[in-house]
Amino acid sequence: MRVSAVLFALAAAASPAAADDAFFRQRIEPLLQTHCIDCHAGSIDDVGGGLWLDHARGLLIGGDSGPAVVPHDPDASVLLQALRYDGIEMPPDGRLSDDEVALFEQWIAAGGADPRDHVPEEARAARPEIDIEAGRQFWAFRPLERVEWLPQGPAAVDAAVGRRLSEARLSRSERATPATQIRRLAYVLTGLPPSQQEQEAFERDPSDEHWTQLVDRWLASPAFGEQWGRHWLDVARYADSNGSDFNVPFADAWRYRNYVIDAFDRDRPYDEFVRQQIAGDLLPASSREAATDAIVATGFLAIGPKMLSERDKEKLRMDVVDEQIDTVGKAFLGLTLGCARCHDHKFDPISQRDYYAMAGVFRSTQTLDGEIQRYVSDTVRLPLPSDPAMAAARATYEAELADLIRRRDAIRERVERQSGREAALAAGVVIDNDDATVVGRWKESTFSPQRVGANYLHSDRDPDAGSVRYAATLPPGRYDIRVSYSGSGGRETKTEITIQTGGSSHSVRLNQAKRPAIANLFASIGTFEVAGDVAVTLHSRGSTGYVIADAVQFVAAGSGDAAVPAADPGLAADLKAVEDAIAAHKAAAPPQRATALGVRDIERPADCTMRIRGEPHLEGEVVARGMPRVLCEGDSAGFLSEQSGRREMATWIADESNPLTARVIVNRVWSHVFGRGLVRTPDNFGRLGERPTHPELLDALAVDFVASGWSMKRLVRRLVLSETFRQSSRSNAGESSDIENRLLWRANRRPLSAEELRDTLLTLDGRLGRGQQGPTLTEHPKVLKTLPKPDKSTQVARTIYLPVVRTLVPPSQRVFDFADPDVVVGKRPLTNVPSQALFLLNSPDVRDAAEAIAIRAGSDPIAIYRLVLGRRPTADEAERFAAFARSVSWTDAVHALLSSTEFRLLD
Amino acid sequence: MPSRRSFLRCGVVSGLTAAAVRAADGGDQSPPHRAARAKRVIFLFMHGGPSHVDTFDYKPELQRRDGEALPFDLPAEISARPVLMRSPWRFAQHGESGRWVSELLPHTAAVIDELAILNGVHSRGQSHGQAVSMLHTGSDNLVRPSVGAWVSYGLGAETDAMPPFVSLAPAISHGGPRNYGAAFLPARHQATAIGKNGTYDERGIAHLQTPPDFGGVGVAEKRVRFLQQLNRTHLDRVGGDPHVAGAIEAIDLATRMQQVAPSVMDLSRESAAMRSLYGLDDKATANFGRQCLLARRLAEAGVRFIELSTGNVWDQHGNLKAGHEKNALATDRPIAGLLRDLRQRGLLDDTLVVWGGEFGRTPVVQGKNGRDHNPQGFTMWMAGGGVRPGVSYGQTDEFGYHAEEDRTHMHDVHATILHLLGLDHTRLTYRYAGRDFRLTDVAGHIVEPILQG
Repeated sequence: MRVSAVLFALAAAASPAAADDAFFRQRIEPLLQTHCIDCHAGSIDDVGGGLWLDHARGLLIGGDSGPAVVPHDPDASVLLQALRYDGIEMPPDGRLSDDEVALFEQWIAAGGADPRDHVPEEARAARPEIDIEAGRQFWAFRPLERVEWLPQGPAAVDAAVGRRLSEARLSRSERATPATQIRRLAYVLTGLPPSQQEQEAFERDPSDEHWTQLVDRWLASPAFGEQWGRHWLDVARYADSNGSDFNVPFADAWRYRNYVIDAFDRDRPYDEFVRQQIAGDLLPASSREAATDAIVATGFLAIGPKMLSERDKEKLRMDVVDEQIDTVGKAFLGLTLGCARCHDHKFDPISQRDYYAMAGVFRSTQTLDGEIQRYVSDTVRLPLPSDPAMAAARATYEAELADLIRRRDAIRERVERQSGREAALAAGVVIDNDDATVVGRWKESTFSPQRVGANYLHSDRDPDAGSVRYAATLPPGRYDIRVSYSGSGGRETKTEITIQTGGSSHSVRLNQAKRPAIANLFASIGTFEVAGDVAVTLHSRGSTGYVIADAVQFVAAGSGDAAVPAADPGLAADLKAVEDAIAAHKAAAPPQRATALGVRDIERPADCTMRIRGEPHLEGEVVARGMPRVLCEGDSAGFLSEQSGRREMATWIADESNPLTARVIVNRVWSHVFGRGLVRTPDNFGRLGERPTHPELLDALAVDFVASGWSMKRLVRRLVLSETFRQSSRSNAGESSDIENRLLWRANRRPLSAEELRDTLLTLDGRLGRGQQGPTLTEHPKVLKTLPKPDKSTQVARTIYLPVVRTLVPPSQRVFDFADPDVVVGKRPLTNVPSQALFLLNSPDVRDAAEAIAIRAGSDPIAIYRLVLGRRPTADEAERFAAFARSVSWTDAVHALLSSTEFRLLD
Repeated sequence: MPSRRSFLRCGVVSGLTAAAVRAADGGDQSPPHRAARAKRVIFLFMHGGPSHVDTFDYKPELQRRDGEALPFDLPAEISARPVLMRSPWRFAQHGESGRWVSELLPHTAAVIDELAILNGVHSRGQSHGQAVSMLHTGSDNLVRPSVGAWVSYGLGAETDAMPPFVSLAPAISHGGPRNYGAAFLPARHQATAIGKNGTYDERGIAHLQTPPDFGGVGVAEKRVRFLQQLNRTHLDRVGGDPHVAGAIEAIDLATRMQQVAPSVMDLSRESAAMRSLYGLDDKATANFGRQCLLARRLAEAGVRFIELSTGNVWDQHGNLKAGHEKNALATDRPIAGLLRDLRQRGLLDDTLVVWGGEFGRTPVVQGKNGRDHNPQGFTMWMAGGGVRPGVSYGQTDEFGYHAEEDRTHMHDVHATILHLLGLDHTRLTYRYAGRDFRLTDVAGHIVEPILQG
């Protein structure tokens, strides 16, 4: 054994390097041939563990247990685990010798070079390419179909729904009562209850003309943008903070929120809305306002949660790319593209190549920029175009400020000279940092003018920066040792300084946050007996602030400091005057250029490499940027771009020939009007999503939507004018053949959303503030640890304007199924849990509203029912309500009504 | 047996009555995959990352070679220097099992024979956010259901008067609610949180109590009775509706919780001796002691998964000695008290107690007297609930840096917890966005050697 090891060592010394192909050919391949290939080659039915060892890709892709070989990482390589008999035991008929196993280890550690690039037919057949042509036959990927038999306009909805109902021998329910209809319409369009007057007027005149008038009035009201904007913010996983591991505030997120509200308010064509959110920064803009909107819109890509403290920045980058692909896929296309990060999509015709074609686009897009603190990445802040007059004013301001600062510094310098800078420097031997021995990573700086020599060094707040050693040889004697630095806040308060001389060592601490006493330049650290050679060393260790290492001075004790002459009083007055001028100038500063949360292209956009099994550091071949092939005509899905390719992606997604985009948004709109989608999985139109209940209707609406110029308001209008929308929600025990109401034989009853609930309570007690709100967060700490209290006007504003701080969503919203801001939410979950009951029964918010309503409506059950439920009580109800109110209190009676199912559920 | 999925998928079908949904989705009658050893879990989360080489992982070589260079490369992106730093605490063998424990944890050392110590744990995430997420959800970057949510989903509630999953004093940072959230599982599986950042909130569950200025207890009860009348009238009028029926039931449930929970949470019902066992009589141990005592009461009341948190206090990048001594003092006696109490009540047999942080700490020094994060190798322990007592499993290298022998990945920890609860981690799945998700993703091995035969 011993002998063979020696022989082996000799042989290894003479053999090719492990990174060479020759090493593989001579050492590895023969072992694979002898011990492995019998089982690990051939057709899929025969090959052991789905692992081919007869070609290079086979090893990298691996089999059922993962990649057999991870280049440069023997311990992560399943092949080596198996050869070591660690968990898996291969070859099964006996372990290879230690030397042989060591060869594999050496080979993998050197990169696992494997020249066998031919992929045998059997292996190729076992991993079939996704059949794109077959994939294109799936309903969602087929072109939109015009349906000839359907009438135009709102009648199309009723005709299509009616046809399915009659096929199932069902029929539409009768119209709901006018009170129910108007309440339903008001909430769907505005998220608020109708006013009492509107309610009463419609009950008096429930005509179709009146209905149409109401529809048009509410479509035009600002509340429409707020209600429908919020639906989109669910999809866009909107939040005012990062959440995740490091909850930094997104100070500019509100601009994106308001952009979305405005888009719905002004009925921005949906195709433009899509393009702006993906590539607004790359689109031509006709005006400054349009350019601002388009940049703000890219917040869509930037607003997701990110593991900012991930230390492996390539992993973070690929995780951000993944989050963007996943969001774009679900939001616009209803596709779970994120599934193809590690392998071909298991159910949809989306290959891993398709994924990395898109990944190249987002990898060429910058979302993160710089660090907030060590290891913690920061987000990009995009400057917004500013008004030329404002920009000019700001430029003038800055030039004037710079001028004032120059004047001040000049005066200061004269003051300092007079106050003894030169005398102080002349008092003894000075060693500047240029002559010091610098160990570690110190940063040079000229930021502060208070320094000796051309520059000084600082630790950049890194306790591991190292040390700076100033050595001198002096005539023996006592010396006052002085250290120069520019004192200010942020400097280290306990800088460690060691003094070594004549075999003894002293250690002192210096507070560098304090201005140095001698001529504003030097601070004494004490008097020491110097034997001749002396060394003073400044250390960064243990520091939390900036350690400044500039110069050290040795002043013979008793030599007497040069008397510091008093400064000229005239100069002092000049200094005061210019400092006042600076303060006044700053107080009148024109606003700084505004910034937005968003993305931009990186400097050198490039295609991305595949990542084997999604591992960020296991790179495969380069994939040209492009879109999923199944959604493109022909074979070529790539596009050439000097830019990231987002613009091309945006254009392609918002193209009328893309069958998914219009279907997905029409379905989203349908689901918010009718309570459920025609496709009940609004974020998944793939094979594992649901099929449309009314495919012809979905296509007819989509075709018309595109033809109408992608107008959202027109689409909503069409739906709410239908009879299907206006029917009763009453259940009918006889309709058990469609208990889920897929065919829409009745309207769907739905709970009020968290926003609708709060906004309604504020409306009923008369406090709801209207009007759009600006910035959400009033403070911007580094990390949000508590939910910031909104300012006064926001406290009573519509819920959409409240801060959405990830990880700190308040219970009033969370328990009522507010959309999780971490992910795309096309359909909020509908839960019925005790915490909702507890909130309604015990929250002071509800109690306060009850009290206010009881006062407002007086002791009148009819007025209270009309206000809270929008209907008259029956005589029996009014009597029971009054009886309870009299026996307990009117506030308690109203409180019960506000907790009731009828209030929470929209009929 | 049909897979859980076939039981559970019908839970998302609307139109069933709320009761039927509840029964189908993790109701009491759905059998676990196999005989369960544990009925519930108490997870003691040592947030920040306690140092294994100063507690349960004794490394004589590290003690000997203090100040010497680490003989191999440091992992990437780390602030510690490659210089070994010995533990400032003495280690000794304890109990019949003779396991090594440092003098930091004398009370735990006294019950060491109850523990199964995992000395070779490793995880993913060099920073807290990732590692805390990995520990709680099995993913270091994606939004996934937490362990407690999976357990609630898999086993259903033991009682309908208490929530199935309670998290005491959870952190706001490092993912916050994500770490006790349900992600795509039905929302009722998310934890009910009490207190935050390591501090238990005496006020208990939010909105559980009716504020006194709402008219008093008698009035609140009358109001609920009147409310339920209104609701039943509504239910009749609409011709039956699962939402309405479900809301009526949820109010009944909330009422039961209001009746039961306050007495469960009321620690004043415990004797002075019991309060002392948990360290409630000492300022240094009272906060975590309250959490531990409450955990036992919640366990008795039928809560499935109870998580306790120290708050992010174990993160000693500097000042290891003072920091770890303070944290050990705050937790050691309450934890030992909990184990003794569970044992004497016979609860330890079917209650699994798990102890650990998101990672350990480096055997090398950071700054002058600190240690950096060490997901490459660290220690967790389990006790009770079918765990073999008095054993240890797995080893780190001679300095305690990398898990080396019998390595236990965080996925393996999760697989083992589920296994002890009678759940097969490969079959406990939930279909979301077209894919079947698991707590252990595509990994996870049960750590058989620490299971009772």
